[in-house]
Amino acid sequence: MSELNTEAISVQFQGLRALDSVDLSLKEGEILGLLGPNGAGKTTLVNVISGFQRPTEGTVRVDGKSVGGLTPDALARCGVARTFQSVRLFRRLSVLENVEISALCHAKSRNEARSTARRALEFVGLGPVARRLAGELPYADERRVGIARALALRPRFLLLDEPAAGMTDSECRDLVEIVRQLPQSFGCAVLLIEHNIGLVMEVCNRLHVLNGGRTLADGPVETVRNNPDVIAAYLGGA
Amino acid sequence: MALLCLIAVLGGPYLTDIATEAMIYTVMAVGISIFMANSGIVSFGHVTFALVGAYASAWQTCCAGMRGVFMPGLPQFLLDSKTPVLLAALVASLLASVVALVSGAAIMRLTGAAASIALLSLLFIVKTIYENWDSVTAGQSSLVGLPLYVDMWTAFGFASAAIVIAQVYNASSFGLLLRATREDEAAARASGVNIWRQRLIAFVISAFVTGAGGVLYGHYLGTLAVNVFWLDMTFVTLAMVVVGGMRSLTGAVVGAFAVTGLRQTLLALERGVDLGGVSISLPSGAQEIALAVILLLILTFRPQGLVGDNEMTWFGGARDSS
Repeated sequence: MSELNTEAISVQFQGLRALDSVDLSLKEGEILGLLGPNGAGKTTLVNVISGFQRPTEGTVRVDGKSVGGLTPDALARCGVARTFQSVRLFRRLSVLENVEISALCHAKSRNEARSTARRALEFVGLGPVARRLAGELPYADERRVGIARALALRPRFLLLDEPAAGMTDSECRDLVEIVRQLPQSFGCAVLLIEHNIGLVMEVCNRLHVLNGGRTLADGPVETVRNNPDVIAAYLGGA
Repeated sequence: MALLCLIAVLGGPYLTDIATEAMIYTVMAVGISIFMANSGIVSFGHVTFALVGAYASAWQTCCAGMRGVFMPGLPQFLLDSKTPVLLAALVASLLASVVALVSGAAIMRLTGAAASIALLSLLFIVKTIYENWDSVTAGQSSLVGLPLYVDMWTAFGFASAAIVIAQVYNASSFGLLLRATREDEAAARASGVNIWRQRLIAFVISAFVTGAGGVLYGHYLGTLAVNVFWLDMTFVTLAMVVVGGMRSLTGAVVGAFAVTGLRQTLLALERGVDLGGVSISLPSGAQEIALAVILLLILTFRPQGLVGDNEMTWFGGARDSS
């Protein structure tokens, strides 16, 4: 069974300790919600796991092997895929090309990459707009292209950084359906950063809560939800 | 382009010369565009490869029996070589690629303005070496007696070949992956793209084509001097790519013709025209100034260039980007 772990990850930005000895695990088949108030270090942790941010201390392991020195592109090829809070599509390329680019990483031919990309786009419900320029899409569709682009890497671990930000309720519901199917359809574990608590409660099996760079709670949804520290961080402290 | 050639044939020797020059510049502009259009990095250094290509061709073909007099430092096999001109052009362009491979391995780690400036430094370094490497480049004096095999149709052939190379590259997965890095570096890396490698591939191919442009240039003029491959040429070739459309191959071709046409018109005006017995001439230097002004106007009012991001296909339709 494949597993991704962070061991005692700390990140120091000059005076600020953005992450302080965080242990997190992500196991095959699960959807893990990463929660925390603004500035808790959620995106920093995703940056560390995906290779964009080198930790000051600690290691990231995939199946027990350290992947600390790998670049983001090498990690992407090894099955750790991510999306961005700001989406970051290739705006002047077509929607299909956006996804084809990441599909090329494992494809033996251009045609194979293209059909992988088409399947990923159909999965997120964007088959009909494949030929449009990515920069012309409405906001919610952009986010779905971002997910398709990550899926085309055939990831074992998928890190979604606020995929529902700025979506309407109905768009959110569509997204919940997409995320819920990911472990089954693509065989990947999902790490979901999300502020929308309702969405998180609905799709996640387990929650990991950060506050001020430290782990506040980690466990099944029900347990974490009733944890007084978590309630304080979200309602009292904020 | 073939149409323009035919017009030029009908238009007499003066137009033929302009068309030839335009197509030589097309080769260089297309070469630069292979790298610039797809990577989004402005290259101030591609003239380096024209320089390397031009001299490498001269080493193989120049000056008949006088080669040893001009360039005594050449190794014996080059002094004796009677390489056919086209083979020499190929070898010379490959040498430009080798220079790109070695220098690019370092420079392609940089991004944006840092890369542009490093590329300019490359031009400074290589130009200084060639200028002082008297024994094989004749240093600051000129080489004369290069075989004059470049006529309009030769240039046309080279320009067509350059365009085909660029089209094949642009349509390849390498081209697509490099365009991803142009649009968003972080997202490209997250999509598994090795930015350094993709840039280097394009850089080497584009140096090959630009090198061929340099070869043509030498064999069109028949003489070579290191200081020709310097900031003027850098400016003119960049102006071509920018005027036509920085992200488009069609733009590079259109730009090469537009800028050459414009320069020649202005040069003719500098020489003076007779209007009813009154000779009017522009002050010398007007050509450079006018070109700079036009470049500024285009950057201000149409930064995407004359043709924008569009590509013309052989069938005349817009490019199908899937």
